[in-house]
Amino acid sequence: MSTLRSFSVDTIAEQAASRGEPTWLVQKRVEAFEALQRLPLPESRYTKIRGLDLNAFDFAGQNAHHAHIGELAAEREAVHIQLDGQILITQVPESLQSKGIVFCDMATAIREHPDLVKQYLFHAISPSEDKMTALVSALASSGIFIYVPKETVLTEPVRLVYLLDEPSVAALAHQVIIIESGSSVTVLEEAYAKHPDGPGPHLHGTISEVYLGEGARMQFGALQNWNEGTYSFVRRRAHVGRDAKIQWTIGWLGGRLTMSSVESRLVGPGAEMEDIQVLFGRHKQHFDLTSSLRNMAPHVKGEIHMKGVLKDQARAVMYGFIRVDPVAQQSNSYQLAQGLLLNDGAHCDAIPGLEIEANDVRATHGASIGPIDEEQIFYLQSRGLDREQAKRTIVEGFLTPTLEQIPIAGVRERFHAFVEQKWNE
Amino acid sequence: MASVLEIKDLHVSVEGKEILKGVTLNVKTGEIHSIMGPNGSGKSTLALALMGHPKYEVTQGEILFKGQNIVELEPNERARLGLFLAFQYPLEIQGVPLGRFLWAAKKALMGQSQADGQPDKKADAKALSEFRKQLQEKMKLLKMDESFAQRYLNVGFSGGEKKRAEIVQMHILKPEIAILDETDSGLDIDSVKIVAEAVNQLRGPDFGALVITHYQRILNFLKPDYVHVMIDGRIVRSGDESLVHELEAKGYDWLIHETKAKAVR
Ligand SMILES: Nc1ncnc2c1ncn2[C@@H]1O[C@H](COP(=O)(O)OP(=O)(O)O)[C@@H](O)[C@H]1O
Ligand SMILES: [Mg+2]
Repeated sequence: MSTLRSFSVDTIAEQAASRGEPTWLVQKRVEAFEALQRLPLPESRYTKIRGLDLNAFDFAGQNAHHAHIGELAAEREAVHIQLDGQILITQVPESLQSKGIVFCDMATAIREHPDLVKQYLFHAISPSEDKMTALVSALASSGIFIYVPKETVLTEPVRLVYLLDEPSVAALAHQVIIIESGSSVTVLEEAYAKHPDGPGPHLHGTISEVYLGEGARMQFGALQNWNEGTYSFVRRRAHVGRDAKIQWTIGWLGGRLTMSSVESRLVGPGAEMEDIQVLFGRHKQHFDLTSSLRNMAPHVKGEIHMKGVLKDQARAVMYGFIRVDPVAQQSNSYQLAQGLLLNDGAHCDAIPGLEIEANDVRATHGASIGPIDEEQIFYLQSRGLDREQAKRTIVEGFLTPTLEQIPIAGVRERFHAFVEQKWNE
Repeated sequence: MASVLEIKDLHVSVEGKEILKGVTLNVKTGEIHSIMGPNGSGKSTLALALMGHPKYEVTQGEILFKGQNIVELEPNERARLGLFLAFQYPLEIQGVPLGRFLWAAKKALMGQSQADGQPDKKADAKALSEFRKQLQEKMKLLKMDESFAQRYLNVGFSGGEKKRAEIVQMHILKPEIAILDETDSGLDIDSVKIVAEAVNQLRGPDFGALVITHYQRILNFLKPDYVHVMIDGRIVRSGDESLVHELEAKGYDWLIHETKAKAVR
């Protein structure tokens, strides 16, 4: 077992070099490691991090390759699977390779596509932005690198699967996704506990850098269903080019503490984003979810929808930040946060932020958070549903209009199924 | 044998304030009763208390339905016994299509959850397709477009559409005793007629209704067997249809004065 204490600036640099990483990258790792030691845990007024001891985790598994396990991957799909931070498989069908698509683990990308890696790795996200980003930046040597050349349309989703199993193992992943101009891709990320009721603690960290060229399109769907002993930290940032469009759809179900930041930088004129995030929390789960929209060019358009259902003592804070740069005239942004509380102990905050430096723009936001309506329950009960059925009907109805907007059917259906399952347990 | 809803000396409080001050009334299947009365006299309170709204506390008296005291029963248990309330203000429920909801309600009322062991898929599918057909017919009867079945329950419905949807629901769920709380309010005369005809269609030995209204026009179509006047939480006068015309001519004031005089004495 190698804990965080067993690392030093020297060992970080040595290990990176021995993996054949170029000097600039070794530098980034060192920078990250220094930041990791310097920075505080990312707590806020709404989120206190209790019971997380970074020194209690094993970071050793970061580099090993595991045996191939076939049952999780269909034969003809592009899929990348990590278990407890170790890569089980990274497979890409020949038909995609021949189109010039790169789909490989980070170590391979560093070896085989050094120029691309240099151009994009740590370009959208700086290794020292916050403690957990620094942790992933310093120690995640496994990860996925996806490059889609110009004018290439992938009809089938690309799958990224993250599994957690062994307690006290830290699993870190770095994702870099580059979609060149005119191309279109659906990326589907699934993050599951291998044993839903297995023992924790688990530590998971992901940083994800996304680049969309002119007119490119990406649908990014993610489902997170860790077990309730998992601390999970996610930072995603996308640069969206001229007339390009990114659609995020994320379903949150698991984890003890989940902190996530999704940021869309609309850098090209006419760029668009849509971020739909839905969460269902129970027991003592805590979610801290941020969606940031930054309008950095004229005529851009963005929408953020965050919806949470909270049960038992679960808590959530949903931040929706919109920032409009002076150049982003005629941009249009909208943000909505809604929370439904199923009982007294549950809690939800919606924190909107609007920072507008251009004068000819539209930016609106709304939030509504409250308990499930007793009048609605009574109405449904008067028609024959029992109290539990009535509540469920209201919750499903609360989620339905948002789920219906999710462009990826698999995410929609599985989210439904997970909610069903959690409800019945 | 007729089913009877027996209301005996019913006292109901809301948030500690007594609203119903001793109401006694029997409604049998085969009968149409009407309750009229000024605003704020407690008509909706009676309707909601009968259906079991948790905020409306029965502090004295009894409600018997088919011989069983239902005061402690959940609203859905009352519905299963055959009670129905058409709301004065139907609730809007996001994301829940009317048709799908009604199917769930119907199944709940039929007690499908504990149906004999294994669910019979074939029978289920058949029941569903029959239900769909029936729903279409009922929507037609209430002059509602079929598309309402796919729309979220009451969301974006006009006032009149909400009221007609309540009657569609009543037709589908087939109660023995229905309480209609000002279903006619806010309807134009054509819609009042449509609703009254739909109620009349259910009329017969297995159906009774308590029709709460402010106006006589729906009663002209319904021809109730009994008419009651509620003032200040009490039924102060009962009679036949002729009472409607008396009220029409004289208003409620004379009854209010009479009630006050009695209270003083
Ligand atoms: N949910 C409630 N909360 C507080 N007061 C109520 C509530 N419902 C009814 N009331 C009061 O009870 C009285 C009777 O109201 P209601 O039964 O609605 O009368 P009606 O239906 O005859 O117009 C009114 O004074 C009203 O303010
Ligand atoms: Mg009323």
